[in-house]
Amino acid sequence: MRVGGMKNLHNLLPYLPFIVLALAVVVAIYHIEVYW
Amino acid sequence: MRANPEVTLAARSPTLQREFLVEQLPLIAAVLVLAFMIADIQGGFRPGGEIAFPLAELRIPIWHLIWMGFWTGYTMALVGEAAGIFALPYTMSILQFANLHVTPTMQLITFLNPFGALFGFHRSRQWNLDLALWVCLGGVVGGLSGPFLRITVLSEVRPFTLAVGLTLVFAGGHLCIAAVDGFRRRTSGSGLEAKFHTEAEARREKGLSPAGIPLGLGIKTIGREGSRLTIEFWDQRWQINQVTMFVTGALVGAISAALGVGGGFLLVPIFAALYRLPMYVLVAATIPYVIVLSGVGLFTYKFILPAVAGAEIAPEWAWGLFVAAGGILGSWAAAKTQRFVPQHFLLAILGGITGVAGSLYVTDFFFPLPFRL
Repeated sequence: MRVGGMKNLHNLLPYLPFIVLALAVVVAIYHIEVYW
Repeated sequence: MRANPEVTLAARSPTLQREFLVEQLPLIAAVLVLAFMIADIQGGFRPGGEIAFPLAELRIPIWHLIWMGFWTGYTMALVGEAAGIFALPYTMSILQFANLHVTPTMQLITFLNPFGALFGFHRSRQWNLDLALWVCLGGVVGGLSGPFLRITVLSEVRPFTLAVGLTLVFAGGHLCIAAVDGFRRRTSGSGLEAKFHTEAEARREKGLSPAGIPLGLGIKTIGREGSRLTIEFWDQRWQINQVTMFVTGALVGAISAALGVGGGFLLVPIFAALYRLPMYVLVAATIPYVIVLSGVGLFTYKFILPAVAGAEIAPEWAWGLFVAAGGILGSWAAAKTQRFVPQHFLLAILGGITGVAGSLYVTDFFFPLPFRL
Protein backbone atom coordinates (compact mmCIF):
# COMPACT_ATOMS: atom_id res chain seq x y z
CA MET A 1 0.00 0.00 0.00
CA ARG A 2 1.19 3.53 -0.75
CA VAL A 3 2.70 5.54 2.11
CA GLY A 4 -0.04 8.18 1.90
CA GLY A 5 -2.76 5.54 2.06
CA MET A 6 -1.19 3.83 5.08
CA LYS A 7 -0.72 7.18 6.87
CA ASN A 8 -4.37 7.99 6.30
CA LEU A 9 -5.32 4.60 7.77
CA HIS A 10 -3.09 5.25 10.79
CA ASN A 11 -4.72 8.61 11.35
CA LEU A 12 -8.12 6.89 11.52
CA LEU A 13 -7.02 4.60 14.40
CA PRO A 14 -7.98 7.02 17.24
CA TYR A 15 -11.50 7.22 15.75
CA LEU A 16 -11.85 3.48 15.01
CA PRO A 17 -14.27 2.80 17.92
CA PHE A 18 -16.73 5.36 16.57
CA ILE A 19 -16.38 4.00 13.00
CA VAL A 20 -17.05 0.44 14.25
CA LEU A 21 -20.11 1.60 16.25
CA ALA A 22 -21.48 3.44 13.20
CA LEU A 23 -21.03 0.28 11.06
CA ALA A 24 -22.82 -1.76 13.76
CA VAL A 25 -25.84 0.57 13.49
CA VAL A 26 -25.85 0.22 9.67
CA VAL A 27 -25.77 -3.62 9.88
CA ALA A 28 -28.50 -3.60 12.56
CA ILE A 29 -30.75 -1.49 10.28
CA TYR A 30 -30.03 -3.85 7.35
CA HIS A 31 -30.95 -6.86 9.52
CA ILE A 32 -34.23 -5.25 10.64
CA GLU A 33 -35.11 -4.42 7.00
CA VAL A 34 -34.38 -7.96 5.74
CA TYR A 35 -35.30 -10.33 8.59
CA TRP A 36 -38.07 -8.64 10.61
CA MET B 1 6.60 6.31 -4.39
CA ARG B 2 8.37 3.60 -2.39
CA ALA B 3 6.89 2.58 0.95
CA ASN B 4 8.82 3.77 3.97
CA PRO B 5 9.51 0.56 5.91
CA GLU B 6 8.99 2.40 9.20
CA VAL B 7 5.52 3.45 8.19
CA THR B 8 3.91 0.20 7.07
CA LEU B 9 2.02 -1.64 9.78
CA ALA B 10 3.78 -4.96 9.17
CA ALA B 11 7.27 -3.42 9.20
CA ARG B 12 6.45 -1.25 12.20
CA SER B 13 5.73 -4.33 14.19
CA PRO B 14 6.69 -7.65 12.58
CA THR B 15 5.76 -9.29 15.87
CA LEU B 16 2.17 -8.17 15.25
CA GLN B 17 1.86 -10.55 12.30
CA ARG B 18 3.59 -13.35 14.20
CA GLU B 19 1.42 -12.78 17.24
CA PHE B 20 -1.72 -12.98 15.09
CA LEU B 21 -0.59 -16.07 13.18
CA VAL B 22 0.77 -17.97 16.21
CA GLU B 23 -1.70 -17.02 18.96
CA GLN B 24 -4.90 -15.63 17.52
CA LEU B 25 -5.51 -17.40 14.22
CA PRO B 26 -5.30 -20.96 15.68
CA LEU B 27 -7.65 -19.95 18.53
CA ILE B 28 -10.18 -18.30 16.20
CA ALA B 29 -9.96 -21.19 13.70
CA ALA B 30 -10.44 -23.77 16.50
CA VAL B 31 -13.54 -21.96 17.81
CA LEU B 32 -14.98 -21.67 14.27
CA VAL B 33 -14.33 -25.34 13.46
CA LEU B 34 -15.93 -26.32 16.77
CA ALA B 35 -18.95 -24.13 15.96
CA PHE B 36 -19.47 -25.85 12.58
CA MET B 37 -18.94 -29.30 14.12
CA ILE B 38 -21.43 -28.70 16.96
CA ALA B 39 -23.96 -27.22 14.55
CA ASP B 40 -23.63 -30.37 12.47
CA ILE B 41 -23.92 -32.72 15.46
CA GLN B 42 -26.73 -30.73 17.13
CA GLY B 43 -28.86 -30.11 14.07
CA GLY B 44 -27.42 -32.40 11.45
CA PHE B 45 -26.96 -29.40 9.16
CA ARG B 46 -25.34 -25.98 9.05
CA PRO B 47 -27.69 -23.35 10.51
CA GLY B 48 -27.55 -19.78 9.26
CA GLY B 49 -29.50 -17.56 6.92
CA GLU B 50 -31.49 -20.42 5.36
CA ILE B 51 -32.02 -22.87 8.24
CA ALA B 52 -32.91 -21.88 11.80
CA PHE B 53 -30.68 -22.53 14.85
CA PRO B 54 -32.43 -25.34 16.79
CA LEU B 55 -32.62 -23.72 20.26
CA ALA B 56 -32.77 -20.05 19.25
CA GLU B 57 -35.32 -20.99 16.54
CA LEU B 58 -34.03 -18.17 14.33
CA ARG B 59 -32.48 -17.77 10.89
CA ILE B 60 -29.38 -15.58 11.14
CA PRO B 61 -26.49 -15.50 8.62
CA ILE B 62 -23.28 -16.76 10.22
CA TRP B 63 -21.40 -13.64 9.03
CA HIS B 64 -23.78 -11.52 11.15
CA LEU B 65 -22.99 -13.52 14.30
CA ILE B 66 -19.25 -13.20 13.66
CA TRP B 67 -19.67 -9.46 13.00
CA MET B 68 -21.70 -9.01 16.21
CA GLY B 69 -18.93 -10.77 18.11
CA PHE B 70 -16.32 -8.56 16.48
CA TRP B 71 -17.92 -5.17 17.11
CA THR B 72 -19.12 -5.93 20.63
CA GLY B 73 -15.79 -7.60 21.53
CA TYR B 74 -13.79 -4.72 20.08
CA THR B 75 -15.67 -1.81 21.66
CA MET B 76 -15.99 -3.47 25.06
CA ALA B 77 -12.39 -4.78 25.30
CA LEU B 78 -11.15 -1.24 24.56
CA VAL B 79 -12.60 -0.25 27.93
CA GLY B 80 -11.63 -3.50 29.69
CA GLU B 81 -14.97 -5.29 29.59
CA ALA B 82 -16.46 -8.41 28.01
CA ALA B 83 -19.13 -8.01 25.31
CA GLY B 84 -22.26 -8.53 27.44
CA ILE B 85 -23.61 -4.99 27.83
CA PHE B 86 -23.84 -4.57 24.04
CA ALA B 87 -24.25 -8.20 22.98
CA LEU B 88 -27.21 -9.08 25.23
CA PRO B 89 -29.60 -6.24 24.24
CA TYR B 90 -28.51 -6.60 20.57
CA THR B 91 -29.11 -10.37 20.63
CA MET B 92 -32.49 -10.06 22.32
CA SER B 93 -33.91 -7.00 20.58
CA ILE B 94 -32.28 -6.84 17.10
CA LEU B 95 -31.63 -10.56 16.50
CA GLN B 96 -34.70 -11.52 18.63
CA PHE B 97 -33.09 -14.48 20.42
CA ALA B 98 -35.07 -14.03 23.61
CA ASN B 99 -35.87 -17.48 25.04
CA LEU B 100 -34.32 -19.18 28.12
CA HIS B 101 -31.26 -20.38 26.20
CA VAL B 102 -29.97 -16.84 25.65
CA THR B 103 -28.49 -16.48 29.18
CA PRO B 104 -26.10 -19.48 29.10
CA THR B 105 -25.27 -18.60 25.45
CA MET B 106 -24.26 -15.10 26.59
CA GLN B 107 -22.14 -16.57 29.37
CA LEU B 108 -20.33 -18.73 26.82
CA ILE B 109 -19.71 -15.62 24.66
CA THR B 110 -18.52 -13.41 27.53
CA PHE B 111 -16.24 -16.20 28.75
CA LEU B 112 -14.53 -16.80 25.39
CA ASN B 113 -14.37 -13.39 23.71
CA PRO B 114 -11.98 -11.63 26.16
CA PHE B 115 -9.28 -14.27 25.49
CA GLY B 116 -8.23 -12.27 22.41
CA ALA B 117 -7.77 -9.20 24.62
CA LEU B 118 -6.05 -11.25 27.35
CA PHE B 119 -3.34 -12.50 24.97
CA GLY B 120 -3.16 -9.15 23.14
CA PHE B 121 -2.69 -7.04 26.30
CA HIS B 122 -0.23 -9.64 27.62
CA ARG B 123 1.93 -9.20 24.50
CA SER B 124 1.67 -5.39 24.81
CA ARG B 125 2.84 -5.74 28.44
CA GLN B 126 -0.41 -4.20 29.75
CA TRP B 127 -0.32 -7.03 32.21
CA ASN B 128 0.29 -7.33 35.95
CA LEU B 129 -0.61 -10.46 37.88
CA ASP B 130 -0.16 -8.69 41.24
CA LEU B 131 -2.88 -6.25 40.23
CA ALA B 132 -5.19 -8.97 38.89
CA LEU B 133 -4.78 -11.71 41.49
CA TRP B 134 -6.79 -10.53 44.49
CA VAL B 135 -9.63 -8.95 42.57
CA CYS B 136 -9.99 -12.23 40.60
CA LEU B 137 -9.98 -14.30 43.81
CA GLY B 138 -12.68 -11.96 45.15
CA GLY B 139 -14.60 -12.56 41.92
CA VAL B 140 -14.54 -16.33 42.46
CA VAL B 141 -15.91 -15.97 46.02
CA GLY B 142 -18.53 -13.40 44.97
CA GLY B 143 -19.51 -15.29 41.82
CA LEU B 144 -20.16 -18.49 43.74
CA SER B 145 -22.14 -16.75 46.51
CA GLY B 146 -24.22 -14.59 44.14
CA PRO B 147 -26.82 -17.23 43.17
CA PHE B 148 -27.47 -17.94 46.88
CA LEU B 149 -27.85 -14.19 47.58
CA ARG B 150 -30.37 -14.15 44.73
CA ILE B 151 -32.62 -16.78 46.35
CA THR B 152 -32.27 -15.33 49.90
CA VAL B 153 -31.70 -11.63 50.68
CA LEU B 154 -32.15 -10.50 47.06
CA SER B 155 -35.25 -12.56 46.30
CA GLU B 156 -37.05 -9.27 45.60
CA VAL B 157 -34.48 -8.02 43.12
CA ARG B 158 -36.28 -5.12 41.42
CA PRO B 159 -35.55 -2.36 44.00
CA PHE B 160 -31.95 -3.55 43.96
CA THR B 161 -31.68 -3.27 40.16
CA LEU B 162 -33.06 0.28 40.45
CA ALA B 163 -30.28 1.13 42.93
CA VAL B 164 -27.66 -0.43 40.62
CA GLY B 165 -29.16 1.48 37.66
CA LEU B 166 -29.08 4.84 39.45
CA THR B 167 -25.47 4.20 40.56
CA LEU B 168 -24.49 3.39 36.97
CA VAL B 169 -26.20 6.55 35.63
CA PHE B 170 -24.25 8.58 38.20
CA ALA B 171 -20.96 6.79 37.37
CA GLY B 172 -21.60 7.23 33.62
CA GLY B 173 -22.16 10.97 34.07
CA HIS B 174 -19.03 11.22 36.22
CA LEU B 175 -16.95 9.44 33.55
CA CYS B 176 -18.30 11.67 30.77
CA ILE B 177 -17.34 14.76 32.83
CA ALA B 178 -13.86 13.22 33.34
CA ALA B 179 -13.66 12.69 29.55
CA VAL B 180 -14.44 16.38 28.87
CA ASP B 181 -11.93 17.39 31.58
CA GLY B 182 -9.25 15.14 30.01
CA PHE B 183 -9.96 16.59 26.55
CA ARG B 184 -9.40 20.11 27.93
CA ARG B 185 -6.17 19.11 29.69
CA ARG B 186 -4.68 17.25 26.73
CA THR B 187 -2.52 20.22 25.71
CA SER B 188 -1.55 21.36 29.23
CA GLY B 189 -0.21 19.89 32.46
CA SER B 190 1.89 16.76 32.95
CA GLY B 191 -0.84 14.15 33.26
CA LEU B 192 -1.35 11.08 31.10
CA GLU B 193 -3.63 12.91 28.62
CA ALA B 194 -0.94 15.53 27.95
CA LYS B 195 1.82 12.92 27.61
CA PHE B 196 -0.36 10.89 25.24
CA HIS B 197 -1.07 13.99 23.12
CA THR B 198 2.62 15.00 22.97
CA GLU B 199 3.74 11.46 22.05
CA ALA B 200 1.06 11.06 19.35
CA GLU B 201 1.84 14.47 17.82
CA ALA B 202 5.60 13.79 17.84
CA ARG B 203 5.09 10.47 16.04
CA ARG B 204 2.66 12.01 13.57
CA GLU B 205 5.20 14.72 12.68
CA LYS B 206 7.82 12.01 12.02
CA GLY B 207 5.38 10.32 9.64
CA LEU B 208 4.82 7.39 12.04
CA SER B 209 1.55 5.96 13.30
CA PRO B 210 0.01 8.28 15.95
CA ALA B 211 0.25 5.95 18.97
CA GLY B 212 0.02 7.95 22.19
CA ILE B 213 1.31 5.13 24.38
CA PRO B 214 4.81 3.87 23.49
CA LEU B 215 4.89 0.20 22.43
CA GLY B 216 5.81 -2.23 25.20
CA LEU B 217 5.33 0.20 28.08
CA GLY B 218 4.72 -2.22 30.93
CA ILE B 219 2.75 -2.05 34.17
CA LYS B 220 5.41 -2.67 36.79
CA THR B 221 5.11 -3.70 40.42
CA ILE B 222 7.33 -1.26 42.32
CA GLY B 223 6.72 -2.36 45.89
CA ARG B 224 4.70 -4.56 48.17
CA GLU B 225 4.30 -3.78 51.86
CA GLY B 226 1.84 -6.07 53.60
CA SER B 227 -1.36 -5.75 51.65
CA ARG B 228 -0.30 -2.48 49.99
CA LEU B 229 0.79 -2.77 46.38
CA THR B 230 2.53 -0.02 44.41
CA ILE B 231 2.35 -0.17 40.61
CA GLU B 232 3.92 2.07 38.00
CA PHE B 233 2.94 2.90 34.43
CA TRP B 234 4.75 5.56 32.36
CA ASP B 235 6.36 7.20 35.44
CA GLN B 236 3.04 7.45 37.31
CA ARG B 237 2.43 5.44 40.47
CA TRP B 238 -0.66 4.13 42.23
CA GLN B 239 -0.95 2.54 45.66
CA ILE B 240 -3.54 -0.21 45.85
CA ASN B 241 -4.72 -2.13 48.89
CA GLN B 242 -5.04 -5.83 48.06
CA VAL B 243 -7.70 -6.33 50.75
CA THR B 244 -9.80 -3.58 49.15
CA MET B 245 -9.25 -5.22 45.76
CA PHE B 246 -10.45 -8.59 47.11
CA VAL B 247 -13.54 -7.04 48.73
CA THR B 248 -14.32 -5.03 45.56
CA GLY B 249 -13.96 -8.16 43.42
CA ALA B 250 -16.17 -10.18 45.80
CA LEU B 251 -18.91 -7.52 45.99
CA VAL B 252 -18.98 -6.92 42.24
CA GLY B 253 -18.93 -10.71 41.66
CA ALA B 254 -21.80 -11.32 44.11
CA ILE B 255 -23.96 -8.50 42.68
CA SER B 256 -23.25 -9.53 39.09
CA ALA B 257 -23.94 -13.21 39.72
CA ALA B 258 -27.11 -12.34 41.66
CA LEU B 259 -28.35 -10.23 38.73
CA GLY B 260 -27.10 -12.79 36.20
CA VAL B 261 -24.79 -10.36 34.37
CA GLY B 262 -21.04 -10.03 33.76
CA GLY B 263 -19.00 -8.00 36.22
CA GLY B 264 -17.05 -5.66 33.96
CA PHE B 265 -19.79 -3.02 33.69
CA LEU B 266 -19.52 -2.48 37.48
CA LEU B 267 -15.81 -3.12 38.07
CA VAL B 268 -14.42 -0.90 35.30
CA PRO B 269 -16.30 2.27 36.38
CA ILE B 270 -15.17 1.60 39.98
CA PHE B 271 -11.53 1.36 38.89
CA ALA B 272 -11.77 4.35 36.54
CA ALA B 273 -13.83 6.68 38.74
CA LEU B 274 -12.81 5.77 42.31
CA TYR B 275 -9.25 4.42 41.97
CA ARG B 276 -8.54 6.77 39.03
CA LEU B 277 -6.63 4.07 37.17
CA PRO B 278 -6.10 4.90 33.46
CA MET B 279 -7.87 2.66 30.97
CA TYR B 280 -4.47 1.42 29.72
CA VAL B 281 -3.73 0.07 33.23
CA LEU B 282 -7.06 -1.19 34.53
CA VAL B 283 -7.42 -3.69 31.64
CA ALA B 284 -4.65 -5.72 33.32
CA ALA B 285 -7.08 -6.50 36.15
CA THR B 286 -10.52 -6.29 34.54
CA ILE B 287 -9.94 -8.54 31.49
CA PRO B 288 -8.75 -11.51 33.62
CA TYR B 289 -11.59 -10.69 36.06
CA VAL B 290 -14.36 -10.91 33.45
CA ILE B 291 -12.97 -14.24 32.21
CA VAL B 292 -12.84 -15.64 35.76
CA LEU B 293 -16.34 -14.39 36.61
CA SER B 294 -17.85 -15.74 33.36
CA GLY B 295 -16.11 -19.08 34.01
CA VAL B 296 -17.69 -19.18 37.48
CA GLY B 297 -21.05 -18.26 35.92
CA LEU B 298 -20.78 -21.12 33.42
CA PHE B 299 -19.86 -23.51 36.25
CA THR B 300 -22.88 -22.31 38.25
CA TYR B 301 -25.23 -22.83 35.30
CA LYS B 302 -23.78 -26.25 34.54
CA PHE B 303 -23.50 -27.72 38.04
CA ILE B 304 -25.01 -25.58 40.83
CA LEU B 305 -28.23 -24.35 39.25
CA PRO B 306 -29.34 -27.83 38.03
CA ALA B 307 -28.77 -29.11 41.58
CA VAL B 308 -30.97 -26.32 43.04
CA ALA B 309 -33.56 -25.84 40.29
CA GLY B 310 -33.50 -29.41 38.97
CA ALA B 311 -33.04 -28.51 35.31
CA GLU B 312 -30.12 -27.55 33.14
CA ILE B 313 -30.60 -24.85 30.51
CA ALA B 314 -28.39 -25.57 27.49
CA PRO B 315 -26.66 -22.80 25.58
CA GLU B 316 -27.06 -22.53 21.79
CA TRP B 317 -23.49 -23.74 21.43
CA ALA B 318 -22.97 -23.07 17.72
CA TRP B 319 -24.43 -19.54 18.01
CA GLY B 320 -22.21 -18.76 21.00
CA LEU B 321 -19.08 -20.12 19.31
CA PHE B 322 -19.65 -18.20 16.04
CA VAL B 323 -20.06 -14.98 18.05
CA ALA B 324 -17.05 -15.85 20.23
CA ALA B 325 -14.83 -16.36 17.14
CA GLY B 326 -15.59 -12.80 16.02
CA GLY B 327 -15.29 -11.61 19.62
CA ILE B 328 -11.80 -13.05 20.06
CA LEU B 329 -10.65 -11.24 16.91
CA GLY B 330 -12.40 -8.02 17.98
CA SER B 331 -11.01 -8.01 21.49
CA TRP B 332 -7.51 -8.75 20.18
CA ALA B 333 -7.86 -5.82 17.74
CA ALA B 334 -8.88 -3.67 20.73
CA ALA B 335 -5.77 -4.71 22.67
CA LYS B 336 -3.55 -3.82 19.69
CA THR B 337 -5.19 -0.44 18.92
CA GLN B 338 -6.03 0.85 22.41
CA ARG B 339 -2.71 2.75 22.58
CA PHE B 340 -3.87 4.86 19.60
CA VAL B 341 -7.10 5.96 21.29
CA PRO B 342 -6.83 8.90 23.72
CA GLN B 343 -7.96 8.39 27.30
CA HIS B 344 -10.76 10.98 26.93
CA PHE B 345 -12.28 8.97 24.03
CA LEU B 346 -12.06 5.78 26.11
CA LEU B 347 -13.66 7.52 29.10
CA ALA B 348 -16.42 8.91 26.85
CA ILE B 349 -17.11 5.41 25.46
CA LEU B 350 -17.07 3.89 28.97
CA GLY B 351 -19.24 6.74 30.34
CA GLY B 352 -21.68 6.28 27.46
CA ILE B 353 -21.88 2.48 27.90
CA THR B 354 -22.22 2.79 31.70
CA GLY B 355 -24.85 5.52 31.42
CA VAL B 356 -26.87 3.56 28.82
CA ALA B 357 -26.69 0.38 30.95
CA GLY B 358 -27.84 2.33 34.03
CA SER B 359 -30.64 4.04 32.08
CA LEU B 360 -31.89 0.64 30.86
CA TYR B 361 -32.08 -0.66 34.45
CA VAL B 362 -33.89 2.49 35.65
CA THR B 363 -36.28 2.48 32.66
CA ASP B 364 -36.97 -1.25 33.15
CA PHE B 365 -37.98 -0.61 36.76
CA PHE B 366 -40.77 1.81 35.72
CA PHE B 367 -41.60 0.54 32.20
CA PRO B 368 -40.60 -3.11 31.52
CA LEU B 369 -38.38 -3.35 28.43
CA PRO B 370 -39.00 -5.78 25.55
CA PHE B 371 -35.75 -7.60 26.46
CA ARG B 372 -34.39 -8.99 29.71
CA LEU B 373 -31.48 -7.27 31.48
